[in-house]
Amino acid sequence: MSEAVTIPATKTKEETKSISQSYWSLVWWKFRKNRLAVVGAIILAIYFIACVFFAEFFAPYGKATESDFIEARPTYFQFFDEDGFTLRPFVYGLAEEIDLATRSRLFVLDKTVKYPISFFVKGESYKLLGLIPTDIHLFGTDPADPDAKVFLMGTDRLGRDQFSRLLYGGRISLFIGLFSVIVFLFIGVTLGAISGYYGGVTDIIVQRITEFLSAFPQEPLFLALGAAVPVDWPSTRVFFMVTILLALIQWGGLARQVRGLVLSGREEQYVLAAQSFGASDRRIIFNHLIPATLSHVTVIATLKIPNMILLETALSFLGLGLVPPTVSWGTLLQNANTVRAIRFAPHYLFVVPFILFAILAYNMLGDGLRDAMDPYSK
Amino acid sequence: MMTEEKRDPLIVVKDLHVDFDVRDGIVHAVDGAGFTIYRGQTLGIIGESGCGKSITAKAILNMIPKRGKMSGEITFYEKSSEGNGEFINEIRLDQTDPDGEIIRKIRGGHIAMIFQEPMSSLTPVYTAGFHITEAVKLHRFVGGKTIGGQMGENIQKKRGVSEEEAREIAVDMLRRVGIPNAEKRVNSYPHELSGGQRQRVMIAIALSTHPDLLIADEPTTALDVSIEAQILDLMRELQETQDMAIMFITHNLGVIAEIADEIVVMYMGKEVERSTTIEIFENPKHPYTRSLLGSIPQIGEKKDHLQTIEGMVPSPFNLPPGCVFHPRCPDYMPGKCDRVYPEYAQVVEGHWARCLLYDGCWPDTAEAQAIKKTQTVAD
Repeated sequence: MSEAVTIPATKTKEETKSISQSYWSLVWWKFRKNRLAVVGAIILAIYFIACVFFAEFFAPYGKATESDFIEARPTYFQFFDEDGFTLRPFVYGLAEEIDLATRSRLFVLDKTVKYPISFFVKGESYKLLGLIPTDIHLFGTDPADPDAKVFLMGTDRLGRDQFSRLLYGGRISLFIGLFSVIVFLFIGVTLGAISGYYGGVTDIIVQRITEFLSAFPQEPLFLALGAAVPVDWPSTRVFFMVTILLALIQWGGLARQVRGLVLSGREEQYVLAAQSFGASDRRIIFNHLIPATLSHVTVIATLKIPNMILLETALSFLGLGLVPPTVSWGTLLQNANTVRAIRFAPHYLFVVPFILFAILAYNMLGDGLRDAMDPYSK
Repeated sequence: MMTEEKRDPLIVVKDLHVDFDVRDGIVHAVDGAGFTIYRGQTLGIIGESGCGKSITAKAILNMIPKRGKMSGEITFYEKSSEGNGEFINEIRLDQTDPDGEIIRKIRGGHIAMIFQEPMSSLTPVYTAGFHITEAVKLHRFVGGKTIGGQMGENIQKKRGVSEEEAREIAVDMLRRVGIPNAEKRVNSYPHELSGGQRQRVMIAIALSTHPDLLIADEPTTALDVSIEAQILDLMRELQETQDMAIMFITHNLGVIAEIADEIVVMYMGKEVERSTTIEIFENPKHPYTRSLLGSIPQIGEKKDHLQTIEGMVPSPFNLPPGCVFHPRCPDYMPGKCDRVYPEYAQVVEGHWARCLLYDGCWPDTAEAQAIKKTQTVAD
């Protein structure tokens, strides 16, 4: 009985709502129904919170804080000891050991020592979001004991905590993805729209440049451009240079797609109508034609971000993008570029799942957005 | 109809030619059109599809596609009141830079246009209100609008309309064109409006800048008959309140009879007849016009077949010699119409036509006169 009453009531409510629903609310409604895309969005939100905004808070140590434990194995949170389950996690201590075969020092878990984990513990001081000075970290060990350390993902050759560095590196890598996509969008959309709208000589010039870019093997081009960045530049300037380089190499494909959309769009009557009301070319391109391509462009952009992150990682791995001391996923992966590192410090490879999940999340989000924004999909 | 001295010319088109150079040859899309649009009056232009009606309209706004070549004169008489006197600026629209500031001020500001397809004339990503405010902000200025001299040395810029003022104008315009619940509808996107409402929005955009001339290019073709009647009523009503001229392009004789003061009939890019609406309907001179009128179905008359105009519109690359209408003409005079190209002349007071049935249309060349004589003898 109650069903019979409630069903028509909710239906009329939805009907009245649907009249005033804008394009974006429809997109949001469709997007929400796509589980995978929502998962992707949530993963990305976690990434941005943990890496971009609050890396200092989530990381137990600073990105350059060195320790005596060189290439130590990861000390994971432990919940079981000989007495059984403890609610409070602890980590085992690290002991130095000499490997007789390779005659090298190793740090391995010492199960006789246990350090309890504290949450919201005082550590190195930093400024939250660059504004609020504080020294609280999400977790850590007793700051008074110099031997008590927690290295969730081990340490590197200088004894720096890799987990902390991965969070800081994520900030750079995620930012590079975003920034270079913004530059990429700016160049690609503007040139594509101009090329499509004016046609003729402009079109020929722009299209030949995009063809040149797409015909040229990308890696050597990037290697050449990357090698052209002066070695003595400060790391921030290198960062922006790499951002711009990534965009400069990639814009061609987007420009072609936007050109195609504008080419069909400019024959629409609303362009003629806008012209007949005295709109200038600039107004027609930027206010009438480009907005009509935005749903397409948004999807390309979302799918392009992981591409840019990967490219940055690959280049930094080869030593041609960002260079240490800048911490990015690419420079962190550089640690793993020897057989020795993989044999004796496999924890360097923790950076791979970090990148992998970010890329997957972006792809899931992009696919979801594409489905949600396509007005012809059901 | 109005008397001569009260008529105040707004647009004078003289000997307009528009040619398109395409792969198969040159198409004379408009081949010698000449008419005057008077302030506050309605000029109807009728003709079959492809006879150059729309191109003529676009030529007035200097919006001919880039491949087209335009010649002839289009003069716009702009009335401006500066200081205490009213004076008239003559602006040669055909000589303005098609991307320049002068013509952009005129487009929308002084001459607005509405199109056949209301479905696609609104940018899908913007609300109805945005479209109106965009036009208003481009063209309406507080304290009047002024466009400078011949080539725009002294374009005056007054303070533009603010966002809130523009929005108020938008709501007010939507209300005036009869859109219910205008305060809400101003935020509607084109896909949320019906065809008739979209055309009303188009009219609202066009009229929001108080233009001197509204070019309506088959504005009701895509609409059903009841909406058509409403839109026509609306245009007539707004024309009276805003003292605006209308150039009404259609192939629908019923519509034109209702709205136009004067009619121009076009065939294959050529103006073939021009007179007042009553004259055209009561006393058509050109056989083409007669055929057109004859093909309107009459209520109460029972016929087996609807009368049509025989034959097909000729290919624009292969125009027949002489009068272009002669292969389809019921009054075809062999030996005359296929040899002599008729001139456009006044056949009766206030009634112009281009047909060899009338003496005035014979060209003054010796050859033509000779042909005229031989045939008269043969009759």
